[in-house]
Amino acid sequence: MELDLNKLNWLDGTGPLAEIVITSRLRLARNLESIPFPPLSRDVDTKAVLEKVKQALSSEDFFKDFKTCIIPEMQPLDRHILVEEHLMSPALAGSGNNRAVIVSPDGKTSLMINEEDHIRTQCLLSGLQMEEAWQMADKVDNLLEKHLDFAFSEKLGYLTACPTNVGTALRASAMLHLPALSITNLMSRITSTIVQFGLAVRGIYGEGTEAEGHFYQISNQVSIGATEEDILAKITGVAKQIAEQELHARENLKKDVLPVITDKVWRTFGILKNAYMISTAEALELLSMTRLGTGLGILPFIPMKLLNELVIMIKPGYLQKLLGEDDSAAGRDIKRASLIREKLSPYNSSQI
Amino acid sequence: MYCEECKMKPANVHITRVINDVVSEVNLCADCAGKHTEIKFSITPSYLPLNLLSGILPQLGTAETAPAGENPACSNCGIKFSDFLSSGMLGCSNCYSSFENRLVPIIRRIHGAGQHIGKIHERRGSKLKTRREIIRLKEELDKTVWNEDYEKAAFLRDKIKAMEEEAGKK
Repeated sequence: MELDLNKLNWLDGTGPLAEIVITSRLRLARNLESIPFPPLSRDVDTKAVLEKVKQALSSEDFFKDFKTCIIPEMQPLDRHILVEEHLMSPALAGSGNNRAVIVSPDGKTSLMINEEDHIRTQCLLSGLQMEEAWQMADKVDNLLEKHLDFAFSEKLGYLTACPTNVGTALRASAMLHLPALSITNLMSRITSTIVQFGLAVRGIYGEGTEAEGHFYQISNQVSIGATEEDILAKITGVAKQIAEQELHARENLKKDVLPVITDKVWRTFGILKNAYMISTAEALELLSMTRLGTGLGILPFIPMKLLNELVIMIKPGYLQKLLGEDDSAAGRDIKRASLIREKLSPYNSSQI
Repeated sequence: MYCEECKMKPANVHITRVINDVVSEVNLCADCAGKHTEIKFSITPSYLPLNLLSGILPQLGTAETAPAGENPACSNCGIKFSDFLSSGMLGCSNCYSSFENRLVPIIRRIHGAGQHIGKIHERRGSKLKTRREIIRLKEELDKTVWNEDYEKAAFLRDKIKAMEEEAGKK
């Protein structure tokens, strides 16, 4: 597998509010009638699912350039990278035969086969573009439905392995970068408000992860009793409101403590440009401050796309791929630091 | 300082209450504080529950829809309802009908709703679409009657009748 971040459209840093809303992600779960759900199914069942999906895809021109990766045939490191690139979930990377991920050339659409549900369609866009993501997922879903009999009940909608997803089987999430709200200790208040709207707040890699580098993911919890449009409008509304609060907090930082923040941002930049070894956690933290500095206009010359790419490049899997044989943590820390220095070399402090 | 209620254990919960500008202080042990329903407090557990959902699911079931002692199995995949309660996962799409009486109340309590109103598929959902459209037209009819727009009401009534006849034929 080759490393090529240009294929990942979601890193572009374009789209509405892209400075704060990194991505809009949407996941639609579908199951085939009567075939046991993956958590309990036998190899013969998951194989049948994979075959049926492949056949459906080959009948539609739309999917002709999609690339199929069979998970058990991949190296663990390559699976890890697909997770870091947000093209599949950590759960799919685990064990189990006949698991697959089928990805569009632009990385915007991916189909996870035999994860918790038979098919999970993901659409991932840069910036706040929930409506657009829904149009894409809806289109893919309609094409698949022409050839596959999805488990559906009039009362309960789309039937899923876990009843927490039943109904629309839709999970929409927006990934937000909220450094100003985090460093001013306002996140706990924001979080409790978000929860009141029936939305959840999580760290960058989804369930069970912490908010590294001030990245937060907000997503819907309720999947039945609301239309897809309602769910997406709610997420969009809340994400917009939080982005506004973040901008407001940034304005206040500028107004109240500009010299302190300016100093902090330049020091951060200094470390990134000079460190010989750096851990993932430290790099994420410092890149977060760099991103804030860019947003505040202190470091106006660093492109958003580069900052987005760096967040993926510094992850252990990606670095390991670059390093090859050497698999020590120290080796990765040295490589991480040198990669960051190299990427930031065109930008320097004479621009103060 | 000892707990003001049981006077046995050390007081490690201190509560200050302000009621109508009167400030009062109570010092309790964790056990006694737990009995006070008006007080919310949290303790950090020494372990984290492995599967929180499956722990919650049995609490969400209702006695009236699920007779105690019965443990039905799915007619398609064979998993028992108790398997679902311990794993949080259903076995197949037929489980939803096999366990309907038990599942629907749980879904209602998780989501606050138990009726799908979202997307319906083109190919196999046309009947359902017609039914939803009839419901929508009936609501519109009520409104037009209320507004005394009888011409439009007559039009809607005929349209609903035609749609119902058409749906009945299928």
